Amino acid sequence: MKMLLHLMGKDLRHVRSQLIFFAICVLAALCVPLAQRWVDEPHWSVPLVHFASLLLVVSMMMALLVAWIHLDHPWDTKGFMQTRPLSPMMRWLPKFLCWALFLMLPVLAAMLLQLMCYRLDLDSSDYVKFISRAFLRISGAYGVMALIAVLIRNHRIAALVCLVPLIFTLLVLSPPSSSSFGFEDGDHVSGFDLMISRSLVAQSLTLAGGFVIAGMLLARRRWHVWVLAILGIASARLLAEQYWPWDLTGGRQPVVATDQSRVAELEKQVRVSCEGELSLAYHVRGEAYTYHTDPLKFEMPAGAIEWPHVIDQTYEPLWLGDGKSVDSTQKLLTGEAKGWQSFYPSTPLQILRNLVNHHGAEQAEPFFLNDNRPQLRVATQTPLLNDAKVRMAGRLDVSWFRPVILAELPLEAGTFFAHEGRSVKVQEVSSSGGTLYLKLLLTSFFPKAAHVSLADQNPAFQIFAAHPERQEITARSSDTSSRGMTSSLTVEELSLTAFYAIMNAEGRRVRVDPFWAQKARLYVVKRESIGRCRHRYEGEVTVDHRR
Amino acid sequence: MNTIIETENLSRRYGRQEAVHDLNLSVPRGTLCAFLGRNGAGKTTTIKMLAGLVKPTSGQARLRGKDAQKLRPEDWQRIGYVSENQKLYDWMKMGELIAFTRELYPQWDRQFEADLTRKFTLPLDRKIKHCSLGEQRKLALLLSLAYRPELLILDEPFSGLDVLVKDEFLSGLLELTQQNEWSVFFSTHDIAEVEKLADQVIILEKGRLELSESLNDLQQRFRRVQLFDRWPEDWPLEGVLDPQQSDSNTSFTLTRWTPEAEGRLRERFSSAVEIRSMSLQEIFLVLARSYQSRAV
Repeated sequence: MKMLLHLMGKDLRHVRSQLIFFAICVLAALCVPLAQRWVDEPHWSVPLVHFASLLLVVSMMMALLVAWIHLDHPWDTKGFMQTRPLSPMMRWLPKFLCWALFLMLPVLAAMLLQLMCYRLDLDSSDYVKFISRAFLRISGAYGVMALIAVLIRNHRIAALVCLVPLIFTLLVLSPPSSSSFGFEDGDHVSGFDLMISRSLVAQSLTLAGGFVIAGMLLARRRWHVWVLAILGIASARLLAEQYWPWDLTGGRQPVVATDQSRVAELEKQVRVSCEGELSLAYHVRGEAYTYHTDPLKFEMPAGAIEWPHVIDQTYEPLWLGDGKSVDSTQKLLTGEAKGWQSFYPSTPLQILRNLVNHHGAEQAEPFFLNDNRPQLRVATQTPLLNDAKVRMAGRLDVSWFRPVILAELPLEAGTFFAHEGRSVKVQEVSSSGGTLYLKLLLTSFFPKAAHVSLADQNPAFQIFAAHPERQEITARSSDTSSRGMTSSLTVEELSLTAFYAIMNAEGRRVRVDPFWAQKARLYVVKRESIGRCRHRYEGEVTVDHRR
Repeated sequence: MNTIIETENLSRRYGRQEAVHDLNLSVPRGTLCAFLGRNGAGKTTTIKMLAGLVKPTSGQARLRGKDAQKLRPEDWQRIGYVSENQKLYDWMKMGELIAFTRELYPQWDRQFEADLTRKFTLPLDRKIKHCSLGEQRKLALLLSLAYRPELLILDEPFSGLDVLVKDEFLSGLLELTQQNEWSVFFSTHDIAEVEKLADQVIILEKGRLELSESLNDLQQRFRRVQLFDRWPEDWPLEGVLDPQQSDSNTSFTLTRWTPEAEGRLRERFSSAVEIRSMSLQEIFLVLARSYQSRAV
């Protein structure tokens, strides 16, 4: 033990200045979002510093790892430790412990602290899953880097090659790159165009950031200049997330007003059957899903929701009025559901949908998207009440990487909750002429974490067998590889979330948990009779689409 | 176990290049063995194989009777290794590196360390990267001596050192090895220095063992002969190297000198012959030239 500490001391002394810098980066990465938690209007530089500090944390971890391995390279015949009385295990164990204790532990502790500070009402098992999965991902990337550092004895070349897993990790963990994953033929073409131009800019900047990090590692001097360069690139990357490229040059185009008459009516009936017999039937209207990246800010007047800021990527609503949507719906109904794999719901819209549903789903008009610009509007015929309290209970999302809290949500300024890796804060609540105006601020919670689940997205969620003659879609998991997948609401959302929303509206707690088993599984627990009466419904949620 | 270093058909190939070929060595315990050879002869490769740093293509090297590739930490506590380009932790101060290394050896001799520090006049509070090459080399030697190893392996310990430092280094080493029953195996190009130090000489040429003999025996059988006459054609040339002939003078190296051979020469040439003993450097030069001409 004494020898172990002695050797660890040597490794730590070797990189003490870099370790201090690393600690500062971790603290910044930790403190910035915590500070953001308490600020109503975070300055635009806050996420910039957060992003840059994360970038530096990752790159410093890489630099430290390579430095430790190269300090006593196992194949270096000139190495000082090669001819000293130490077993191979004793030579490497201190380095492993340094990595685990001084690199991984602070990062994992920071993650855990962030989770807890955001008051996520999760089970302890969810935390364990979250942390262990993050640990596996990060340590996997660093395992690859360690292997590279062992195989390539030249420090500079090793650092350059290590950039590959580093950049890969950054891309996987960063939201913009998600857009290229899981995109299938048959998806919205114009959205795809937008996505490409957007992600190209962001990914190019990520790549540029990688090269600057390489420069920092290779130069090993004038660190402040390199750090400034990284901050500059990080800010450019954040700007790329905020604006479309042409926004920067040509300014914004005016918002196109929406003709509500074009919006097709949609009725959905959700029937829940148990053991083949219909037990419940519900009727809902008005659903839409988009995907967005953060940070995002939007206002929601009760009469119409405008989405003035750019969203990263939009998908055509499932069952809205234009031809494509209808076709898409028909595809789904006739079993051609393949094109729907990459369909992601929107966090804010889910929340809004829940708000709307609670206050009368029958009155909500469908959301729709403008073809040219990613705009979103919704109309509701019943004004929301100023003092409304929205009850959102249960667990909507089974993804433990994107923990979801749906809690009692008073509609008042300062209300804060988190959803799918993002925090949502109600900033203003006002009413005018019987109309409620809500201003929600969505900020990044774990900006990179959220994306990981998208990278995992795969066709495992084609879990619906279509029965066009009966106009029914039966929830049934067909792919065992869906185990461990982290998607939020996917195609089954058509039925499951409608079912969920209605059950919630009736004051029942619904848990939708189709992803951990081979069969889609739903079970409903009556709130008033937990432990006494439990009804389990397996794979028999059906949805009727009537136009 | 009287043999401290032993190799058996030790070979090492780098691609098509054979660096060491079927080397069979035996170094008795308590010997100061000089390992000589021209550049590229395979000295460093051999030493690295002895230290277990390079794996032989075939054959085996044994240190203290143990396979060099399977040396355990307790074996390394009795072996010291210093190489020409060994990396020290140059971001440490000299004193820090000594303190760090001290903890690795339970038998570390603090008094001996202090003596060596004083003798080598090492600046303990200076960072190693700011020290001269000679100081770094002396530090490396200290770090391999202060735990009193039974065997010290040195690869080109004198290269790059100025005369004064070399002398300090050498006298220190000599003094220490005389005081202790240590075996030292060292490679060098500095043959003049070897003569003061070595008991045994091993010469390697193109990866093959050419000579392994005690220095005394070697110097005993090599003589430089100067004839103030032409070489008689009826005289046998056996055991003669490096013959040089001018109009009236002939000189050559006799490799199998004996008093009888000298007697025969003096009898034949009477006063026109001069026979003198040779330094190790002269012997090495004669041998190296002969290896070279043989290769040609």
